[in-house]
Amino acid sequence: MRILGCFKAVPALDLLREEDWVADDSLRVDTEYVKLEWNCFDEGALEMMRKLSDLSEGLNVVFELDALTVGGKKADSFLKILYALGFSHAVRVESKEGAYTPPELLAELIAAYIQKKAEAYDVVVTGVQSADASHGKTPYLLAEILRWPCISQVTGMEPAKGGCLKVTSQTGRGEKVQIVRPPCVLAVGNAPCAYLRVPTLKDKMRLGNRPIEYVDPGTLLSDAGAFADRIETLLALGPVDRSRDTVRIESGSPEEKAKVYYEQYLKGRLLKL
Amino acid sequence: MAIISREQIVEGLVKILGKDQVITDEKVLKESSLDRYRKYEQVCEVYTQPIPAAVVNVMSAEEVSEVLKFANENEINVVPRTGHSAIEGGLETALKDSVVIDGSGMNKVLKVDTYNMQVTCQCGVPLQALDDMLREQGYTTGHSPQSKPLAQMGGLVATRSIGQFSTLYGGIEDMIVGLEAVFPNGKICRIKNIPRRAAGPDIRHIICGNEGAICFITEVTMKLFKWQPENNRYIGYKLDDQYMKLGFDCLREVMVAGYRPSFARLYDAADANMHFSGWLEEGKAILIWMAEGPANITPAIEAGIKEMMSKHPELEEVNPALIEKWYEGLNWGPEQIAEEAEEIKATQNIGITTEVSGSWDNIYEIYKTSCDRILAEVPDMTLMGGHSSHSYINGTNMYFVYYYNIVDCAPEEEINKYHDRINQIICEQVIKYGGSIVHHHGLGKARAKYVTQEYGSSYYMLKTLKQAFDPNGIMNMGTLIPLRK
Amino acid sequence: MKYHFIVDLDSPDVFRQMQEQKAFAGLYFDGIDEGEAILLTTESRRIRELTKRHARDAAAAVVEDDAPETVLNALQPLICQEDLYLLSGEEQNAALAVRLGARTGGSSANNIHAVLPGSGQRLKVKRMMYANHMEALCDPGKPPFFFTMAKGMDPAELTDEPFFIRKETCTASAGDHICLETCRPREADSGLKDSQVVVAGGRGVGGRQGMEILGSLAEALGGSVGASRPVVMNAWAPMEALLGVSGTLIQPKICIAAGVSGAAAFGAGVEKSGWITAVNKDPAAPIMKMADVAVVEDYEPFVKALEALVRAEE
Repeated sequence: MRILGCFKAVPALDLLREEDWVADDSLRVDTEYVKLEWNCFDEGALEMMRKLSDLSEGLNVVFELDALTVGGKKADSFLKILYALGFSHAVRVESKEGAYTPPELLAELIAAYIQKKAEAYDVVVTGVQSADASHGKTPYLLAEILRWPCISQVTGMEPAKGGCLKVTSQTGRGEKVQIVRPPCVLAVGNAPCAYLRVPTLKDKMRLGNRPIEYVDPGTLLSDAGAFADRIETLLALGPVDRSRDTVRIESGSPEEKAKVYYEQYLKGRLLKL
Repeated sequence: MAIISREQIVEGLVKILGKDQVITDEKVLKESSLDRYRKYEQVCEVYTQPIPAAVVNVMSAEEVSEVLKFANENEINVVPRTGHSAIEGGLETALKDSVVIDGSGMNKVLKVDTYNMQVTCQCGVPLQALDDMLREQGYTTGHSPQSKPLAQMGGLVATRSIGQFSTLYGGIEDMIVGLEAVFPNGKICRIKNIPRRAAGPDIRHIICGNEGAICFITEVTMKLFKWQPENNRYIGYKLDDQYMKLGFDCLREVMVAGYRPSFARLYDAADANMHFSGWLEEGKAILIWMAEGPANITPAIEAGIKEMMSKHPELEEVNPALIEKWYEGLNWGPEQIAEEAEEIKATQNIGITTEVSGSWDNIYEIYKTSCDRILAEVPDMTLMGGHSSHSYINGTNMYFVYYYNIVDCAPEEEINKYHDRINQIICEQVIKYGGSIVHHHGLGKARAKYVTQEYGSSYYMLKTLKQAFDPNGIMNMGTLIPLRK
Repeated sequence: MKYHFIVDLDSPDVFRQMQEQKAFAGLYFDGIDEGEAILLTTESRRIRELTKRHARDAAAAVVEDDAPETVLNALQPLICQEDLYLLSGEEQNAALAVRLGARTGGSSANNIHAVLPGSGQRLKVKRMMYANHMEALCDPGKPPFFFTMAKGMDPAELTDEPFFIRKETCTASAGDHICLETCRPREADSGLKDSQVVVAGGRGVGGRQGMEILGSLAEALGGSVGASRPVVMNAWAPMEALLGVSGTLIQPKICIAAGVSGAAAFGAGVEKSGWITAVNKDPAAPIMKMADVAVVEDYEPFVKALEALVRAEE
């Protein structure tokens, strides 16, 4: 079974200083100085793919794992890590470093890559959304372009008989476990413990330097695409102020503080409930 | 080892301190049997060290004195502790039925004296709280180790710690004024606060760096400095990893020319990638300086360093704003530790550090040969690198940073299979080339086995000190001086 | 332009979803005509059993199963090209909104918290970006519009009358790719969403034990326990306790956040609380600025002392 994992390397937003949460002239936040990390949902998705491959040992099925990202040169180090973890093929659709690609275009690029590929993919796995732009659109648009079914909020994948996958997902009604026949798009949501394993330096040297396939987006899409007239336009971007007029309780022992807090603030409010 | 039973130890302690200050909760005792040297065992909640009989919370020098007298009479091993951030096994309870003496409850700042520029505080004052309070008034201790969110004053002095701004302010040995400590026989000693004296040897250094193996530190007076961050200047250069030797030479050049930046750092590419990958290309090492001090001095330091560095075509200047923003995000607190533990559990990948020092003429060999040997001899390495972060006129330190996957290995075997093996290689290379195997984390128990090689003929002095002050062998046994097997 | 609601009748939260949709329409759809509610269900009896409504008219869409592909097939013929369709903020609705937009030649936006008029047939929406640090105003594109709402809207009262069902359609399953399916129903609601009092724990509580201490206080106060993302990721609390953007957005009268640093994603989860208390050792923790009362203290002794006071009162 051939699986394509699509991911994005995103700035580590936790490391941004409070005062740097401002929009620049192009309505983006300058995150250049913080390091890139795996987008959390994508990291979970990629680790799930690896686990799938581990679980297939002894079963009569081979999982061939490929990875694709749209981004600048900095993303190469992430692709190298995936090579070192046993991914078969790594692809970077080139875009300017730090440039914004709307989800509509991302989906079209990924779909075009899949459709041009001689050997067909069975499954595409990706996270439900990215930390920075937070659209939550790419996997669903991709499913529509490919005309594949799509399962969202996936939290687990296991091999199943007959060329199928056992997919666990969260829905409003509960946890669904489905035996799914490919092709399909799987959008990974809140999976617990979604850390990607770490390759050894030896594996990095042995496997990590295999050539990355660089793709010029122009060769994938010849026109503006089906979504050209309905891509979101950002009109304004501003920081969110969540501050309140804070009263501080700072002096005394924990017990004294608890007493002041309870008597002066909490008790009256509890009575009103 | 104790000549009375575990129950009698607890009983005796309760008699001295009362029930509330003597903790025998099993979970607490287990956590108190180790420090972050056995990080993997800690994460897996596997405890291989003897579980202490009790943890006692002391609230005054007098209480410490009573507890130590009791321990001394009954030959009970005690482990002094404050912030519990040690990472070289210094807080492991190596003997059966030990007692951990926790001074973190002694957390009062006793006097801020801005005329004589010194601050006096009890051993359990957290450095973060102290320095934040001082900074609000325009002062600082100048001490800023990465453990700042965790570490407390007693432990910081006991381990001879050093902070990120050491190139200007020095290590803690340069910052301490007077001290108070309690010795195993219960004797409380105060060393008065004076700017300098030549009345015999500097006995503060019996206390500073004793790692709890000689006495329990109860009070510390530190120098104060003006806090004027508005004058800070940041300078950074990137260079190819193959020019690490040149990087060390650049650090040297600045020191030898007589500049005193507050920090001076050189990261190799592997280590730099963990901090700066947002803007630093893979395979690039980085040199960083920060100038701190009065407004007319910092621009001069900046200009001087830039002029010297401009002569090296291998260097490429980086935007100082990037360095400044990175520096402001440097922290390591309980949140990071909690998150790290979960990451280790999920990935079975663990990161450790070992810090050593060397002269300018051997530090590169120490760095290079250690890295090469570890990569060749230790399996499952996922990252091997390091940085120099404390420079002196005559040399610098090397802070090795390494990560490995723990493969087919029980938690209790991890130390032998990986951590100790890496430590051993580093220590062997350091001793071979003539550096010191410990720059600022302490010998602890992890590196005590190399103490005779580290000290050479001067080991006599260390051993004599230990025997003189702790004749019954109750102070943090196994630390500094290895246990006889 | 008209606005319509898309309602999942099979959801255990159907009334809350309707209440939030109605509230949203009341705030932002001034000047847009009321359309109908599209009621989706796998069991047609639910349509007749429904006793409350948030629009006068409804179209009922009975689907053979709840595979998104089936649901999309059911919805697509009901879409008017000029109109706006509002879905509640359940995570799986994002997929429906986006796919409907793609299929009908329209546009979609997820987790929006406001709609403003644009020029001509256009609209402007507000949504969060950068892990909830920034608020964006966007032109989502051209109609038909499919929007999912941000969670945590103040609910509006429903009308105690059944819908006027204009038509009813039946759609066959399009879930051929699903060979077998089992569903473990959602665990009993933790009551978090409807609690008047919530005690929330963050990384600073240090472990499962810390969350138990908070649980005990919550019990004394008759409230529920919530947790920040790191806490549930570390399995110190069940996933259902997650507060914030990807979990439950709460709006209790009283929220006590202990050992929480105040990451933006968490802030969004509690900001609609009537009154917030933060308990943190670190006076500079971001949560302190979000709070009405900030107690600078280690959470453990403070919470234990507070619980004793509350219980003494009883």
